[in-house]
Parts: sequence; structure tokens; C-alpha cells
Amino acid sequence: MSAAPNHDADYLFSFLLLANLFQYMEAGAVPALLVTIAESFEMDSGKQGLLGGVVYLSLGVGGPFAGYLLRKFEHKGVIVTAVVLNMLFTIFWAMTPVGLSFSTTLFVVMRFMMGLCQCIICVYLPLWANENAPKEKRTTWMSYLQVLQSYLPYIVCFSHPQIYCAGIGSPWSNVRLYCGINFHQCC
Amino acid sequence: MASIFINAAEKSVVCASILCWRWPFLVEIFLLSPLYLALYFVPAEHMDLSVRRGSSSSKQLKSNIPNTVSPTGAAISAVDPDDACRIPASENDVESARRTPQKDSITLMTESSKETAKLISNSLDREEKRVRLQSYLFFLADILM
Repeated sequence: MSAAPNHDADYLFSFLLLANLFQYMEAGAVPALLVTIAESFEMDSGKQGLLGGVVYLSLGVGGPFAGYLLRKFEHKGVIVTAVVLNMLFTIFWAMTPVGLSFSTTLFVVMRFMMGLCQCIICVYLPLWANENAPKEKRTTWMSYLQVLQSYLPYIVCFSHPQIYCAGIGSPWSNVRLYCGINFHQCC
Repeated sequence: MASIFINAAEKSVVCASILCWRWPFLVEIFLLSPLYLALYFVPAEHMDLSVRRGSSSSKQLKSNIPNTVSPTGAAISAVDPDDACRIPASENDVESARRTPQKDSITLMTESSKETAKLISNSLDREEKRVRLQSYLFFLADILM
């Protein structure tokens, strides 16, 4: 059993980084689309908050569970299962029917499940970088992972000038607050 | 990206017969699919971390440590402190060890074996603790924030 050679590790890291970047796009998209989604599902403010927060709840709850899976099972199998499930849940989530009595609940539950799947990858990637990164690049790799995991939602949210320039009290202030919370997320 | 989609939609709810807000997520899936597919072709050993290698195949790892040979010619396991302290099994070894007592060298070698075993054991424990700690950190960070 051998770790990835340096050049393979570089290549694989770029690949994982890109996958990570795309995976967390939904985290940035939800705040930007919250008003539209809320209108489609006829969500009140409480449910909007639940939709925003449930993914972090699942990331937190899934942490110890992810650790257990990574200790007990083959890592490739665990990661592949997690990403495939994440993609399937994202498809179901994106295509959740609107107008049904259980639509909102289903939408929130799907997001919770997505968070559970993302959590496994979230725990795995820094460990992988720690083990496979060349000694002189280890900190850089770790920082890239952190930047893409925690700053991306912030960047995506603020990519729209209207959101960025929104003042306190405007309809966008909730989005801004949400992005501010995302900014401080460690994952 | 989501903002651009919504802006481009210009207040229309449906874009290409699908609700506009669904498109950013579908694009995400479209971008992720080839990467996820490529993940199948990554060799498993490049993705396996020592934390599992340690827990599942620690015996294999231990067997890679060269065995020391006692002055009597009897092999002593270099890893397991208990095994290392064990008296050689065969009667001939016992007999020859009794005839030529070289307790100091045996003691030194078994001490060295114990140290090696401790180092391996500590290293494996550290990896396991690292995974456990990291998962708990995620739990705390997400729950508290």
C-alpha cells in the first residue's frame, strides 16, 4: 500500500479541489436564490431559516459519523459512495416538486441529506492533503481547501453588485447576513 | 453564478420550461458529473489514508518490521512487546539459551523491539485520534456556529 507519488498527488489534489469547488456551489447559490425559492415553495421566514441552516446542522451531526466510516471502511468506497449520493440528492433536491403539501419538508430533508454526504468529503480532504501533500506545500494545500470550502459561498453570494451594495434593512440584508455566517464557517 | 442566472431571467419564473432557480443546481450537477466519474479511475491506494491502513492491516504493517534474531538463532518478534519477551518456543532454543546465557544482549534487543512497537503503536493511535478529533471539530464548529 503506497501513498500517491508527488506528481500524482499534485494532479489528484487539483482534481479534488475542482470537485470541491463545484460541490459547494449550492451553498453559495441558496442565499442568492432564497427569495425565489421561498416564493416557489411559499415558505415563511422560519422555513427559510431552516433551509439555510439545515445543511450546517447535518455537517455537524455527520462529523463523528464520517470519522467512523473513514476508520472502518475502504476510503475510496466511502468517498465514491458519498459523492454519488451527494449528486443524486442534489438532482432530487433541484427537481423537488412545488405545490405539494410535503414539498417544503422534502426540500429541507434533501438538503440535510446533502450535508451528510458533503461532511464525509469535508472530513476526508484535509486528512488526505495532510498525508499526501509534499512537506513544503502542506500548508498551501490546506489553505486552498479552506478557501474553497468557506470563502466560496461568500464570493458567490457577493458576486452580484446589488447584493454587495445592499444596506441594512433592505430585502437583501438577510442574504448578506447569511453570507457573513458562511464566511465564518470552517467547512 | 446563481445571481447571474436570476438576473438573466429578468423576473420570469420559468426558464426553458423549468423553474429558473433550478438551473444553477442543474449546472452544478453537470459540472460535477465528469469529475465524479473520473473518481472511479483513481487508484484506491492513492486515496487510502494511513488511519485505515493502521487499523485494518496493522498486522501486515507489523510483519514488515524485520525480526531480530536472538544470539541462539531463535527468531524473536520485533513488534509485539509480549511476543518479544516470550521465551523461544522450541526446546532446543530453550536449552541452548540456558547453556549460553547472554542476557544483556537479549535484553537490549527486546528493549529495542519494545521501543519500535511503541513507536508504531503511537503513530497509529495518532492517526486515529486525528480523524476522530477532526470529525468532532466539524461537529462542534457547525453546531455552535
